[in-house]
Parts: sequence; structure tokens; C-alpha cells
Amino acid sequence: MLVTRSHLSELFMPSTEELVQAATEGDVSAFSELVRRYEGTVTVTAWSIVRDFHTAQDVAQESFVIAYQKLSQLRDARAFGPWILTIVKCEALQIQKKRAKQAAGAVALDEAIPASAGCWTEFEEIVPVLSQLPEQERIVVSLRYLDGLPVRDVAEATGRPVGTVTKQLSRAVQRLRGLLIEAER
Amino acid sequence: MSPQDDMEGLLEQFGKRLRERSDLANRVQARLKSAAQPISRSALSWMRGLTMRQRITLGGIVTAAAVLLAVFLASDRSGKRLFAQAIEKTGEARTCTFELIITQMLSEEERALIKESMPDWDETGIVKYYWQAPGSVRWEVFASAKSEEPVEVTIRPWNKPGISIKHWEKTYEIHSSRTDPDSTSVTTFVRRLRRCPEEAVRELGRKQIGEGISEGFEVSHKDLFPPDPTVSPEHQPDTVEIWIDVESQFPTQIEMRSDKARNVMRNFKWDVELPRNVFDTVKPEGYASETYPEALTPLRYPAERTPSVTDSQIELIIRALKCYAKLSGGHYPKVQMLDGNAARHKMSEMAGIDLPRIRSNMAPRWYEDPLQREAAATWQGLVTITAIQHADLDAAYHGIDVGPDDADKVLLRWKHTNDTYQVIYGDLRTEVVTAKRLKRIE
Repeated sequence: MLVTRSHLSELFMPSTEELVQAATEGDVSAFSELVRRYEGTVTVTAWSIVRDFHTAQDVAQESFVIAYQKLSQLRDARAFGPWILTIVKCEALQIQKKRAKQAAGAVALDEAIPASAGCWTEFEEIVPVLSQLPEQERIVVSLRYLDGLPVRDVAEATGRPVGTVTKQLSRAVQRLRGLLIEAER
Repeated sequence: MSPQDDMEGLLEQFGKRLRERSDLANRVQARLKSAAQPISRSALSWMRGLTMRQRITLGGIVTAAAVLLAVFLASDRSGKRLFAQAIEKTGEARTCTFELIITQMLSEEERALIKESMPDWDETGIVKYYWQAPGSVRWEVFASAKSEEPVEVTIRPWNKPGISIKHWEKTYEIHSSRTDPDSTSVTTFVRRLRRCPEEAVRELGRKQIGEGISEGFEVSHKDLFPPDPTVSPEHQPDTVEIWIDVESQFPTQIEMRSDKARNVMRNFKWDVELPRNVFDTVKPEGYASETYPEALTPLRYPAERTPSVTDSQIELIIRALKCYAKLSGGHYPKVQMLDGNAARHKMSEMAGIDLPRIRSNMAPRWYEDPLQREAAATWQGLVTITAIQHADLDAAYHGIDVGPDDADKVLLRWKHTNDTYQVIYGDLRTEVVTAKRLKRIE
């Protein structure tokens, strides 16, 4: 055919590096694309610490806002993935500390922060199982399946070779299978 | 099948629903827009040493300067400022439509070949393109200016699977969401323009385009895009001309030129309402599926960053080399640096495939002979080797000295990580080895 994909390929899907660069120059829509690219992994990472869907979402939102404000401090644009995960972990741990202080006070934690009743049950069914994976495996599974990144992009986001990521994914899927069977017993 | 059996499917479905229901990006965007920019305390601390009169006087000077600057910015719509303003404005656009005209210098044989499959085709054929932020695209290919119906339609909704429908041969191809590097985006084009150094932009003056006056700018294509290995070098554009309406500050025409081809994007419409259902992906009834496995995606080159070579790309390389050896009577391409395009032409010549320059993807099912089919399905593996050699991967190819019988000799290798190398031996076995071991075996 006269027109092939390559004729239009000059306009490829932007890489994380390109998105970070554009966002650094003030392009908010580029940053929104970064949010879409990493939101699943970021939310799951937050949940693994705060153990509550709504709080995890708030932590994720706050982490992305912090990331945007500090984007100029990110030296290697390709390292956005590990960087945002460090931010979300710090944020989630801070929230945890605040909650622990509240729990130590007069108000019971369960009353102060509503539990996840009524929130998306599928999330509450799958993510706790996912959270039992070792951290590295949880991150690659989240990037690959929840955020839908191709394996090579997962490798780039985690700074590991494709072969390692492929093996981690395969091990994680095996482990999840076992965890799900256990959870159903 | 229980959920445990299809764990990957379960996770993929969950991820898909999670993404579809999430409004995190919108919430973050709203937060970023509403958040007040913090003023650095230290930036104003020097004012503490001034008297009130000094502060008022200084404030007046600063205000006057700001007004003068604003007047200058508002009135100066010429030159490179217009170029910069157009980039900003285009980056904020939500929708866009345009027509793309591709003019190729074709040989008689190539014309005849196209006419064989599309009798209506002539050089007035156009592509109608629709785009919606953040990255949904649709393009419709019309065989000629007289055609009322497109011969091909490709629809790539953002973050959802897409489809290409070839009406001329009644086939369709499903594209996975996000995983296809050929997904197009107007904003990406704009981002690339933004990176273009100011001194590389040449002013072309003004001319009438449509109802308004546009100002032209020219940049070198290689300043914006890496060469595409699937397009012959003579068809890769040398220059890009961008014409910008001086009033609306939106691009009105973009032209990419080479000695052998001229691609013009024209009739731009920005921030218009698009037809309903323009990004709906419905499989056409009675059409055959032409969806290829993702494994056959070639590595693009030269990569803007150090690329990772996937397992499926390694498999593609091996299949291509095996096919090449079968066709050549027992040897791999005998060169030191593999030229993907040259090897591709050699392979198609040996396979007896009439491969036109303009077709970047051969359809394997067009060929009855199994070896021809394999050549058509795997030639991109040779381009992938070229890509590896051009990327910063410490790669070496020994096709001159190593053949299929050299089981223990290294045919191709490249750096996998800091400590290991991916090796493909003469008999096409693969192994990941340490740098120390590579020294011994190479």
C-alpha cells in the first residue's frame, strides 16, 4: 500500500524521556501522560504501605504533584519510574506515621479514617495478593499488567535488562497463581 | 479455565479496567493548574533593606518594564517568536484534522504493482487525518482525489486497542494499546519541534495559505527525527517546512521533502469538533484478520536512548539469519557492518520476491512458497541487527568469517548489561555470557 505506518512514524508514541523533558518545559498534558503511564504501579505501591484504597489514591495524587514540582531536580529523565516510586513510598510512609499518631490518640483509627467498604472490591481482592509479592516483582507486574507497559519499557523504568524483567514477570505470575489458590482455600 | 490458570489475562483485564476508571491524571492536572506558584522568600529578602519610597519607585520601574515587555510580546508576531508561539499553542490544542499528500517518484514497475491491487489509485491520493488529545488518531487513505470512500482506515484510540482496515483487500489488523511505537501524536511532533535549536530554524518569509497569511520556517529533518530503517534513504525527507498563520498562530501547512518524495500536510483545522464515533474500532464483517504477533516488531534505529533488545526480537534475528542462510546456499550476510536495507534487498532478490521500495511491510501470506513467506515475515530481523550495530551496545557481527557450521564461533554479540553480553553463535544458538568469557570465545 502506498501509505505505510512508517510514513507517519515520525510522530511516534512519546518515550518517558520525551514526556519528562516536555513536562519540565511546562507541558502539563505531557505530565498527565506520565501519570497515566505509571498510575497503576504508583497506586499499588501506595496501597502496599497504607492498606486503604482511598488513601492510596490520595497518596498517588500527592506524589505526582510533588514529582511535577520537583521535576527539574530529576537528572536522568529515563529514571522517572524509579524516582516516582521513591516519592510515593516516602509520602505513603509519612501518611502512615500520621495515622499511627492519630491511632495513639483518643480517636480510634477505624473511625477516623473510613475503611475501604464500598470502594472498588476488585481492587481490594487483587491488590492485597499482589502486595504479597517481593517488592521488585510487584513493581514489574504492576508496570506490565496494571499500567500496560511493554516489557522493554518496564525494563527501562526499572533500570534492569529485558531478560531479568522477563524472568521476574514469569516468577511473579507463578507466585501469584499460588497465592490466589491459597487465598481461595 | 480458572483465574489461576490465566493469571496474566486476569491481571491484564484488571489493569485495563483500572486505567479506564481512573481519573487520577485529570485530578493531578487540576491540582497543578490550581496550585499557586510558591514565591521564594529569599528572592524578595533583599527588598527588606529598602525604604518605602525606594520600594515604590522601584515598583514603578518594574511595572513600566513589564508593560513594555507585554506590548512587545503582543505586537511581535513575526520571525522566530511566531514559531515559538505556534509550538506553545499547538501543544495546548485538543483536536486537529489535516490532509496528507504523499508524492513519490515511482518507477513504472512500482506504479503497475500498486495499480494491480488498487486500480483506482493515482498520485492525487490523500490521507485524511484526525487527532484528539492526548493521542487518539485516525487516518483514512483515499486512492485518488476522486475517491469517495477510503481504501484503508487506521484507528488508534488512546490507551485502547486499535484497528487497521484494508478495504482494498478485505483484511483488518488489530493493534494493541500503547505497545506500538508507530502510534502517532501531533503533540509529539510539536515536542520534537520544541527541541530544535533556534539557530537551526531558517525563516522563509510570508505567503497566502487559505484565507490568511502564513509565515514559513525550515528545519533539517535530521534535527527532528532519527532515520527510519524501514524507509529507503532516498525517500527519507531532508527538510521540513512549517507554515504558520500569523493571526491564529497555528500551523497551516507542513511539508517534508527529499529528492524522491514530497509529503505535504495541509488544510489544518485546530480545536474543531470531530465527527462522532471517529475513534470507534469495529471489526468489519466478512474481512480476514491480518494481525501479526507482536514478536515481529523490529527495533528502530538509531535509538535516541540505549535500547533493550527483547527476546522476541532476538528470535526474529535468528529466524532472519536462518532464512538468509537457506536462501544463500549456506552463509549469512558476508559483511562487517550489516546494512539492513541492503541485506533486505539481497534477501528479497534471492527469494525471488519483487519488493518495491515504498512497501515497508511485506505481507507473508502473499507468497505461496514457504521460504518466500519466511523471508517476507522475518526480513526485519536484519534491520534489527543494523539497529543493534548502530546503537551504543558494543556490538560486533562476524558474518564474513562465521557460517552456519561454526557452532562455537560468535556470529553476533552485543552488550546486555554492564557485565554480560548476548551472544548468537554460528549455529544460531544463543547464550548470555560474561565479558571475561566473551574474550575467550570471540
